[in-house]
Amino acid sequence: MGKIKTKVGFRGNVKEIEVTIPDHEPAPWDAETPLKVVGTDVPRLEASLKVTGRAKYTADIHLHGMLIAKILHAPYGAARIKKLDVSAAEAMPGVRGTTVFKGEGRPLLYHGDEILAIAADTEEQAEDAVAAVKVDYEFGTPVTTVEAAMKASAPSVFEGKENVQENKKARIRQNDPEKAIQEAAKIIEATYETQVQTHSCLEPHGVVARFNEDGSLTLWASTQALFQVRSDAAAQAKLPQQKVRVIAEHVGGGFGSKFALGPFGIAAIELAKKTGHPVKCVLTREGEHTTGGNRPSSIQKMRGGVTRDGKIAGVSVTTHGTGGVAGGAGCANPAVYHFPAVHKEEYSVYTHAGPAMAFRAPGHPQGFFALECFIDEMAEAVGLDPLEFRKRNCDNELYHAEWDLGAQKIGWKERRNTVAGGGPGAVKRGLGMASTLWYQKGGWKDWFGQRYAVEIVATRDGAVEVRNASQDIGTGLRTLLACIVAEELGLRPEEISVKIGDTDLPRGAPSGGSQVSPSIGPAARNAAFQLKKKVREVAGLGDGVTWKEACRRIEGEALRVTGERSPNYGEYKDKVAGCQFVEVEVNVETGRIRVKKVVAVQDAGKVIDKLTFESQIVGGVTQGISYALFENRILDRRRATQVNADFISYKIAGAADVPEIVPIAFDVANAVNNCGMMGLGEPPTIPTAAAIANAVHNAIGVRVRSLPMTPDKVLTALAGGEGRK
Amino acid sequence: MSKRHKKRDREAGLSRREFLTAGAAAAGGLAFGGGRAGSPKVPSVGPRKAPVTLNVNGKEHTLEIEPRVTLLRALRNHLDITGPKQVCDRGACGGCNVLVDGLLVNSCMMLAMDAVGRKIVTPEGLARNGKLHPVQEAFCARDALQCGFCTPGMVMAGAWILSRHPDPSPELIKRELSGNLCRCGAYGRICEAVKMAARKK
Repeated sequence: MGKIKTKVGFRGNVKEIEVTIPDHEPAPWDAETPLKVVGTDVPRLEASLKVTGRAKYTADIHLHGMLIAKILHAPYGAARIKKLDVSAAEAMPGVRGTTVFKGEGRPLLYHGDEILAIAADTEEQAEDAVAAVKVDYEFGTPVTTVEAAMKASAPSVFEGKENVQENKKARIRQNDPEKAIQEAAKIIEATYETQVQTHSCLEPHGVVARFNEDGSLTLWASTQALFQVRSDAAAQAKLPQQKVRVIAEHVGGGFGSKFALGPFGIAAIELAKKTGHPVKCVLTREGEHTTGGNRPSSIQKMRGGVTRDGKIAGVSVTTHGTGGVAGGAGCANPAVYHFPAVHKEEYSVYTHAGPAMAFRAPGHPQGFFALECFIDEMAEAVGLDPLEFRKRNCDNELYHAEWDLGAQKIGWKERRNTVAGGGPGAVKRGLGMASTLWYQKGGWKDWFGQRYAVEIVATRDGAVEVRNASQDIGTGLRTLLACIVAEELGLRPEEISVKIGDTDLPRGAPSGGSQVSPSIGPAARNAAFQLKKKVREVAGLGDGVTWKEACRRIEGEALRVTGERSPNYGEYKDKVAGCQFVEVEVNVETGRIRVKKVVAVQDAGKVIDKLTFESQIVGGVTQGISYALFENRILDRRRATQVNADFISYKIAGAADVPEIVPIAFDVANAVNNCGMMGLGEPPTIPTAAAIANAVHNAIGVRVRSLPMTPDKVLTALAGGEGRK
Repeated sequence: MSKRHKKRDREAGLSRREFLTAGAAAAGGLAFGGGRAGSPKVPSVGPRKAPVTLNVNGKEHTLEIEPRVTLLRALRNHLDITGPKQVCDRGACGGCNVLVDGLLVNSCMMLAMDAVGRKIVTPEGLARNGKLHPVQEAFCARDALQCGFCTPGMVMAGAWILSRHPDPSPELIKRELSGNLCRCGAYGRICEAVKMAARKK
């Protein structure tokens, strides 16, 4: 271990700090390191495979003798299986096996609950067989909303368990919030609501399972956590983990919903075991909407006090939300700003709906919708510009720099209505803003306690292959690793090949919490650093000897070097910041909101590949727009059936709904690891809905405090209903 | 024909066969704006497997499928051409877009038998002589994709736009791409890429 000095910070705000780094590691890329590849636009390595349709996803795997399995999902919630008859189904042509999840007498809690799965020779035969299963249902009384589930007379979703569960870990009581609020110059109260959003990955959850002749099991899985799936599969198949291999070369989206083996995976394994054939089980779109994960709803009651000089005195937040039959309906607030006194209580409410799963920044888009709108309402109460109010209540220089940059790019001073609403014509224009944050510095081991590592193989022909098990759910891990290794070796990224998505490769990270890049990137740099040293030693790299020439002198076939991820060093910032500025147009006659422009400033430590970094920002904003204006899972109150479990009536933002999005990759030298990297996937989707809502208020002078902000809610607010100020 | 199949057919009666045949014709009519639907001279096939020949990416493939098999599933499950994706299976997302005689089609909404005698192009066949189509090239250069699952369909839609509009406006591109969903949110760059490809072409 050695102490080194390194320059951290961002343009115009650089300082020197001391960090302790392990002996075998290179010094972190800092604010003044000259870099050739890192920070430039590097196209995705696998792009040509994806544009030609040759990239193979789990759903595309086709094995010799493979059967197709389909799941019978409960069409109702709060039901019970009175009678289950599979005899007709099993007599149908092509049917090879059945596995039952829930038999007679078992409760079906929600639409989508798995009853059984059937494997057949063809997809059509499997569908026919599932349709031929005879089920008699007994109906109970479902609860489908938070309000209904909270009533004293409400039926319990889980027998003998209260529907309303406090998330006790989230409880905060700091100083004396009631007193602080009561004594403040202005008291503000508001309630915000957010809807349930489904993950809607375009590639449905799915698994292909094949038992090999030696008794081992190979799985192809559409997953964001290969090693979790391996662990689940080993337990399911009663095999040691070493006998299970999981492959995910390409994954068609995850967003937090693809961590476990899942019922589809269990079905594939059980039916493969039973039939002796490989089995593919991929969810239908209806199965995906109802069981493939969702973001919990929220009702957030906020009460706060502001002093005369525009300082937050205190805040009290009570939230309720539903994640269906799962808990975890939290709201990540208060945050970012300085709250001298805080009261926070959080409740998860069970309803008869499919289980919530981690969804891109769990709890944050909900929490920040309320938080950032409430900040605007506080600013308005004391007559301050929302940007100025934010500055007065936050002393983080990173936020200040990003706010100023975003404000300048959108024309905040010149173009924002100083008096909200008004102006001639039916179409009103307004500007709004909101901030974000995230916490991911990357780690050196996974939740199984295994250390992350990257292997690099340099062969005599000069080829370089980087190897790590992690899956890529769309962030661009291959390209990122190629950039890092190319920078260290003095090569071009396209000269590096990258092999990922296979548990047979060195330990990789799960794609959760934005952790893969900052966890694996630094291990790749370590490996490249050591490889360079070795090639120099054994083959005289440098001194006019090129990489190719040096590699020709390698003895044997190849040089193999493994770099491990070390614990983080200490840092300049332990969180990332970010902000978004939005321009909207609202038609006060139709109630329709159109987002016209979004400026998104986002840092995540060192920017490695600017092109894919910007893609992450733009993608986060686009999902945020979709969440703010369109998406909403709707359940029938009588049978708890999702009435919009398709892409026809579950509305996701399309090309025509997306405005000009200006991504600003804000480079910060952070010295937290040898690449200075932080996690990026989640923060850009957090503030968008709030920024849009604040812009809507600036345009029409009334607040819409409920997502999605559909025309009916806008018109109701304009007519003096909920949210009128 | 096995005994079990014969028995099943007897039980189902002729109506099942007639239904399938009529259904196939109706779907073909929907996909191509009428003309064939309701025609009394549609030859009767099915309900069990029948041989068909499909021309995909310039190559003839003969396969045995039930008449109800969609073009998408014929490509994916029978020919292992998996560029077109089964995403919504209801014609709502464009993930399965292919060109049939130069026309953009949701292949999940078309029966394979209705594609007999037509030229089918999938993303795999869009590249010519090892060179990517300008839309494919622009998608790579502009990073107009993330997870990549919508990409094959988007690329086909992009190529379809350029086949009719040599210099499309951004508004036209957005409107024409409205049948294609992208969950990662790459629309901005997808539209840019289509525009870029138009300039190059």
